[in-house]
Amino acid sequence: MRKSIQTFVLGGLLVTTMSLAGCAVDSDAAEQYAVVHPLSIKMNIPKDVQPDAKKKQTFEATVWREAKPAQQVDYVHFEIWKADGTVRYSMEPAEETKPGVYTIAKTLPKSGLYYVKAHASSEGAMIMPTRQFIVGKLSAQDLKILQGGAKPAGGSSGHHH
Amino acid sequence: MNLMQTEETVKKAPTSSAYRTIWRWHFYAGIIFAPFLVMLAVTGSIYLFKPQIENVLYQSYYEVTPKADRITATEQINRVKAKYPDALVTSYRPGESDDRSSEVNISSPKMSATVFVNPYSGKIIGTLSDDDRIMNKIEEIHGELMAGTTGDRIVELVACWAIVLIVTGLFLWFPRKQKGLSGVLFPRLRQGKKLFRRDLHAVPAFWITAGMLFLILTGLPWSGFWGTNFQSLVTNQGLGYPPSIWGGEAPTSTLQTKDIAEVPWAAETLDVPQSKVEGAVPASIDDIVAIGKQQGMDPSFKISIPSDPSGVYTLSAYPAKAQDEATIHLDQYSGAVLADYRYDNYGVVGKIVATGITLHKGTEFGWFNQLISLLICLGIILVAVSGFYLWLKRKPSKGMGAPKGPKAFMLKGFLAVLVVLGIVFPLVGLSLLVVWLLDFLVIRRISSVRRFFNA
Repeated sequence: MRKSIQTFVLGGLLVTTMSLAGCAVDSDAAEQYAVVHPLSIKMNIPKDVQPDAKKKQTFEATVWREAKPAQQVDYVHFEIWKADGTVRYSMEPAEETKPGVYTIAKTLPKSGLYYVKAHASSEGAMIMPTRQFIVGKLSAQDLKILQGGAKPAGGSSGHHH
Repeated sequence: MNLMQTEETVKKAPTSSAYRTIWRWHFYAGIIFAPFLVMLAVTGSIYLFKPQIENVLYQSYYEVTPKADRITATEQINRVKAKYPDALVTSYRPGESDDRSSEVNISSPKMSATVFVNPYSGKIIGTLSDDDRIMNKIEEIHGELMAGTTGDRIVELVACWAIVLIVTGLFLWFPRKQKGLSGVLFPRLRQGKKLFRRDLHAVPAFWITAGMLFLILTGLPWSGFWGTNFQSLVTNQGLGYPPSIWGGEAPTSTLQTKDIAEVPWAAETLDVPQSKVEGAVPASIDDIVAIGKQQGMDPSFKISIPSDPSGVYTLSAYPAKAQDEATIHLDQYSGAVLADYRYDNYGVVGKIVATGITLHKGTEFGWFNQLISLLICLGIILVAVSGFYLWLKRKPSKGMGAPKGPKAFMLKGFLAVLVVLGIVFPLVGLSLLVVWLLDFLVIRRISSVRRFFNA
């Protein structure tokens, strides 16, 4: 009787010790808590363009909430600048040319590395993605900026060169 | 024969033999774990006052004179990068008030440190290595005896066995014969030294029991073995902290690799493929600070900077009150909120654990909280020391002087308590196995050892 109690107790302790040891957080545990449906912006940026002082290039943005177009878009603003600071279009509202499609048209007169940043807000959430693009060819200075990992001169709070 | 005799004794006088067995367990557990409890109480008493102590020690790092214009967070971080070109910047803390410096955390294989920056001038005020922070040392002793994982497990074992001490101690304290409250709630001062010595241990022990149990239970969730498993379990059930706050992964930035601009590190010519350079670039830390403020983070928030292309910016704040805690994960490129976990989003157990932690640390209710916790710590020291003193005074010159009683296997109630504790706290279970094996393999078989332990 005593031996069997002893065996039972020891065995039980061993089993619980071993079973608890491998407990980890499940990869889908987040679904049980506050789930956010993140905003995103899809941008259409002119591709393979050459510098041109007259021709306006069109930038397009659509705002998404997860896999669906966002219902209430409060604003979409664009700012565009060249990495070396020689071309700069400060933040301005985009035009809703088609339902849900926000556009802006600007000339890109010089060759080199550029940035376009969209600011958008929908139902209290705001996002501000920046994309890097090239007009014509990169200069040696542009390459330096890229390789230096230095953040581009820009953003709404940035300084001018 | 021996066994039958013991069984008879059990039948004849169940209370007194049970009393002796439980006393025996209390006795050995006390002698082994009391020194650790004193150490935990001493370091805990100091750590309670961390905010005040650090405010005095690091005042010159913390305080800045407010001016009209702040320089950008990016610029502040660039100054730090210029001074420590080989270190990785891991986080940025804007500072909770106008007269508080910014903090930039850096890490390198040699050290990890906090660089304090004046956010108005951009001047680096000073650098404080994590290893030089006295409070980090205190915390390391308190949490892991400065012995890493092994130390963590020992502290956890001590905490669990302290529960055994409380349970057995309460049983021994429970009034049986005497009427009145002296010797129960008040020490007997005029009934001889022996009773006074006993009361000096048992009476204060009773008074601090609830507080001590509270500190143990609120401390256990951060232990490395029981705590980690417990937290994972409740997080998986939807009851605990949301993932990434304690255990589990943060979400990842959602962009596909092809949409992210590559940095042409190795390129020496201008023939960088255009498609690789074009794409999304990470949001600037200035934008992240702005989003943190817009999201209503507690002003003491810190921003953890992602270290790989799929990482996220994580805003986190752990202010004095658990109710003000928040953790927000932002997409590295767009700054979109990917997960937003406030105290209100914690599961029921998560809320209890979080509040338990701020109470344990003494921050939840300010100085009153610190005072109560300090009294409990001093009480633990008093009870451990008086218990030790009690043993020294009663100890015979030979042997340990442990009370002799029937084995715990004979007392079904007590055995049940041990088994339940052993299952809920597997480290207790494991240590019970070791005790039984030692008893069975060594103590029972060598007569001198057996006499010494009065087994």
